Parts: sequence; C-alpha cells; structure tokens
Amino acid sequence: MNPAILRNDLKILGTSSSAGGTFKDVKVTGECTFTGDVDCLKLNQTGEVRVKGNLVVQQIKMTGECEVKGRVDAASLRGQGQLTAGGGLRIEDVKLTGGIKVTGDCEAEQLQLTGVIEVSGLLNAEKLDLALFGPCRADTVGGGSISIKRSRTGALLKPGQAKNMSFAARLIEGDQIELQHTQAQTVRGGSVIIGPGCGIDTVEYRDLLEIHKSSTVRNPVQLQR
Amino acid sequence: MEDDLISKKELLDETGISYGQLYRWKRKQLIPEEWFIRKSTFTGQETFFPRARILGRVQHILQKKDDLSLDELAGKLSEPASLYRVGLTLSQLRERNIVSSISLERFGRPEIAEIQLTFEQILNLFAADWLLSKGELNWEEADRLYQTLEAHAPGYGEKGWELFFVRKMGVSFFMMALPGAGLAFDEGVRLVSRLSSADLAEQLKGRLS
Repeated sequence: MNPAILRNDLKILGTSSSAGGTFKDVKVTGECTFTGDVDCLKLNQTGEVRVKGNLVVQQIKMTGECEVKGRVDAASLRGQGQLTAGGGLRIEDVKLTGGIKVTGDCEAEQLQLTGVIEVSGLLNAEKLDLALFGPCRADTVGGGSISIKRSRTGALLKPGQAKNMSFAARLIEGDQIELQHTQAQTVRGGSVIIGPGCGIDTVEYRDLLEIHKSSTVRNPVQLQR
Repeated sequence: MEDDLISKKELLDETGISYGQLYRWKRKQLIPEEWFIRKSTFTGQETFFPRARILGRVQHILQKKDDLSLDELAGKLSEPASLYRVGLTLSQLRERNIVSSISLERFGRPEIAEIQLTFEQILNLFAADWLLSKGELNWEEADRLYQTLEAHAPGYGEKGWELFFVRKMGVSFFMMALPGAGLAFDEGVRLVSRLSSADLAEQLKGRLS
C-alpha cells in the first residue's frame, strides 16, 4: 500500500454505485456496486456490496453480502454474512459466521468459520477451524492444524438436515488433523483424528491415527518416521 | 521434456519438513506457484516439484529461517539471481567449501585469487565442479565445459541456459540452449548430463547467503 496516496473516506447510504478507487474508510449501509478496483483501509458494510474489480483492504467488518469479481486481499475479516471472491482470496485473519465462496485458492493464517465454505482450489491455512452449517467443499485443504467439525447450534437449529452438514475434499494434508463428517479421497498428516461420520479412502499418518467407530477408512497407512 | 521431479511425499521424507511448513512457505510465497506440478498417478492426482530446485530452496529456507522472518526471506528469494549481489573471492569460495579446492586450482588462476567474482562466474565454477564431483566428466572435459560457459553463458542473459553434455562413440561435446528447448539426438548419442542454470542458481544461492 502506497502511503503517499491521499485517502478520503467514503460513506454510502441507500442504493448507489461508485467507480471504486483508493479510500481510507469505506462505509456502506445499503447497497453499493463498485465498477472498478477498491483499495481502502477499512471496509465497514451493512447490506450488499459488489466489487467488479479486485478488493484490497486492511480490515473488513461485514454484515450482509459482499461479492468480489476479482481477488480479495485483506488483513482481517470479521462479521456475519456471505463473502464471494471470483479470483482467489488471501486474508490473514478470518472470523466469520456465514459463508465463503472462492473460485481459485483461499489462503489465510487463521480461519475460523461457522457456516459454509466452498473453495474451487486450495484451502490453505495455518490454523483452520470450521464449524459446518451446511454442505462444504474444497479441492485440497492444507495447513498446520486443521479442524473440521459439525456446528452444534446448527444441528439444533436445523433438526433433520444434519446430514447436509458435511465437508468434501479430494485431499487433506496437515500436521494435526481432526475431522468430522468429512468425505475425502486422501488424508495425510502427522496426527489424524477421524471423528464420526467420515468416509475416507486413504489415510497416511506418522504419529497417531484414531478412527471413530461410525467412520470408515478403507486404507490406513502408517509412514516411517 | 521430462524433468527430474520429486513427489511431495519424498520431499517431506528427504528434508524432514512437515505439511504445515510446506503450506506455510507456499502461502508466504517462498516457493513459487510454478514449482507445484500436478500430475495424475495411479493413486490419484499428486503434486511434484522440480527436484534440484526445490531441494536447494528448502535447504536455503531451513538455514535462514531462524535469522530472518518469513516475509523478509520471501523478499530476498524473489530477487532474480543476477541481482544477487554477492562477490566472493576464490579463497572465500574455498574456505566455505562451495567449490572444491581441486577445481579451484584447475580453473581459478592464482593471480586473481583475491578478486571478487560475480554470481555468474561463481555459477560457472560451480557447474564444472558439480559435474566433476558426480564423476560424469574428466578433467579435459571439465576444462572445455568451463570455457564454453565462460564464453557463451553471458549471451543468454536473464533467460538462463540449459547445458547438454552428450557422448557418441567416445567423443564428447557440450551444447547450450534456452531453457525448455526440446533437443533430440540420433540413437547412438548418450545424454550424460543435463544442467539448467536456474537449478544451479537455486542451489548456489542457498550456499552463498
């Protein structure tokens, strides 16, 4: 981020559109469509935001929907709602209740999500904490510690639909992995704990493997240290 | 063109790093996206890396990660090799065991022992030394290799080069080409060795800094 650029605030109430640009704080209450790239320090939104270009921002606070056609680059994301990125996403620190949908790769240091996530490429996070609220999927998941569990409140709020709250991936790799209700082809890691409701073809592990009695692992392999 | 590849699992076994570290370095762009090569195998899709380059890079990161933050390291690694402002003298190369002292005596003219060498010059020495130590060249061939590199490597500039060392009926010769060139030979030719400047530079960078 170039500090020499003069940044001004942008405040939008109601329904409006903007060409985008460089701002300090952007506050949207209502609906706003940005037709170009947006670069700002803070994005504070209640309602709907559409960005036709890329979004570069330090801090996002959202309630509502945010749809970005291009790439999202941010330091932190907080709030409730649905975030869609069409060209990849990188956010250092995510704490969200709602949904994330990424076409491309999704990268984060910390990702804590209660809700639904859909990533077409790699979901890469140092610490991934997912509480499933619906059907989730990613092509590949990689990272340090990965925990995928069914949300308890979700199960209470939507009785009878619990079977939809699951995660599907082709490959999951990490140092510590804890999974529930996950379907995957291959899981590789240091210590792997397979909770209830999983179906996994191959698990390769180094230190530890626990399998819940309601889960199936067709091919567990311990690797030499 | 079939490069020498290493699978992700082998890489982890060989270097002792973990999945977490690998993904962290990928996130921090310490390992370029292009090095992740997807291939289908009988167990499904697997990720492979160019062997020499990734091993050099991993060594480099492991050595440096205690002194520098990953972000600083990422900044350093993204500099192209030619900008790598290292000047070492022959005696420093010997001390730090980057090029063996036998090769240094052969190629390094004693009168310039204290002159700083550029990265490219060191790379040429390193290339000759590397093939010698693998036992693929004899001394005469190494001399010729070194001369070829000295004469022609600068002409390739930023793009780098690939070197082919081939033998036929006991006669050996070198060829240089742009990286990725698909050269074909007649049947009697044996490709003894193939070197790319990018691979060498990666290994050398790790040792120099």
